[in-house]
Amino acid sequence: MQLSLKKSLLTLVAVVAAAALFAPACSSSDDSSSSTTEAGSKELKVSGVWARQVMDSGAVYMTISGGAEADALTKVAVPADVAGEAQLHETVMGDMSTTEMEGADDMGGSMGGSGSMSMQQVQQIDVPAGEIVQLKPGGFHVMLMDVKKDLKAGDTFDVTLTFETAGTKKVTATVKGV
Amino acid sequence: MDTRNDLGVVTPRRRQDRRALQRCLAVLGTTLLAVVLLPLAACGKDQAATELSGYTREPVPDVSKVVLPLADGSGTLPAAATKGGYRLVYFGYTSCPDVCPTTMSDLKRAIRTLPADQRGKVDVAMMTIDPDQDLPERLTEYVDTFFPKNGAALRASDPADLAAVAGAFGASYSVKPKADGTPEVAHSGDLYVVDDRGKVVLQWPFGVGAESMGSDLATLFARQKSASSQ
Repeated sequence: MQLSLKKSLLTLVAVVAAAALFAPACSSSDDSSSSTTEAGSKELKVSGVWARQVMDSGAVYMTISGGAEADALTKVAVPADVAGEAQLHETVMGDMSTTEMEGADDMGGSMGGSGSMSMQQVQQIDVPAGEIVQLKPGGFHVMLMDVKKDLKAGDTFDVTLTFETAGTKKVTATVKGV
Repeated sequence: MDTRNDLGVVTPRRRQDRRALQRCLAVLGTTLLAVVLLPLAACGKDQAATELSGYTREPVPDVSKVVLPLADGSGTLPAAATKGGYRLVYFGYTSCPDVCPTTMSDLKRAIRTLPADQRGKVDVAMMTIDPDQDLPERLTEYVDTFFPKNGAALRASDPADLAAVAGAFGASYSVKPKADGTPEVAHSGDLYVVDDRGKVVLQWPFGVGAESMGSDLATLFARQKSASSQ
């Protein structure tokens, strides 16, 4: 009986450990393609790059998987025939009462979670070692201004990302329809 | 080999079985824990009384007397939906690249999931919170991008009129010029679901997603149906 209990505990530990081991492995899609320059080092990777455009403004989203070292996305560029400017932005959800807002004067604090949202330019997006940073709706994103092309669903364009440590990476964004 | 197990005698085979069972239970326990904990972590605030993803304010806001100014100057639209339908009202601006298109795009996909008869009873009205930048033509083009058939562009050139409409819904916004001259815009990102009596029966905060909006709309229609058949 004692033995069985020990065994079942061991099994539990093993299961949890296995889950912990496999979880990070599952989230990075193409481990095989990562070239290891140093023993055990992992390179920063960018995947799932997509964009949406409405009239002259747009946004680009992606998933960045951090490498062995902490890094930061500091600059982004798109071809001049796609957009006039690309900036790193973050949509921030704040408390309504912290900013002076028009409209719902008497609603302050009672809106059940609907905070005020605003966008701000950021100097860089930190990518901690081994962590996954998502640029996604309602969070970090690349804001495209003065979009020149009429981008259609399925169209692709180059996005050049500059990282502090990993250097410059050219990725391809696929346009999603509105 | 283990013929006498009815007497509680644990034979080697039986012990093996029990171990297997315990191992099995451990795996099951871990799985169950994950199944229970994951949704708990995923769900935000509790709207226990309802299975809807959106939330309803108490008391339910009444916007039946509110008129929505059409951007093209051709008149106004009542805030209340057409009979048996729902009007989805949003306060946003056209140079918003992230939150507004995400919401409009999700809403468009949500409406598409409804059966044709219900789809025909749903329309969308987007009011600009930045009328200085969003001139009528630009705003109309924006709304048409998402809702060419069932969308209305709303704009009030008088800030007081905008404040009155937004206030009736409980929407907040602020447009302030930044140092570089471009406006800094903040707004509450909710979508308001108005029924044909002019009640804001549901509100979706940003990020609810197309699937949840679609199922909420289907639920609202289903409730309407069951209420009318009683």
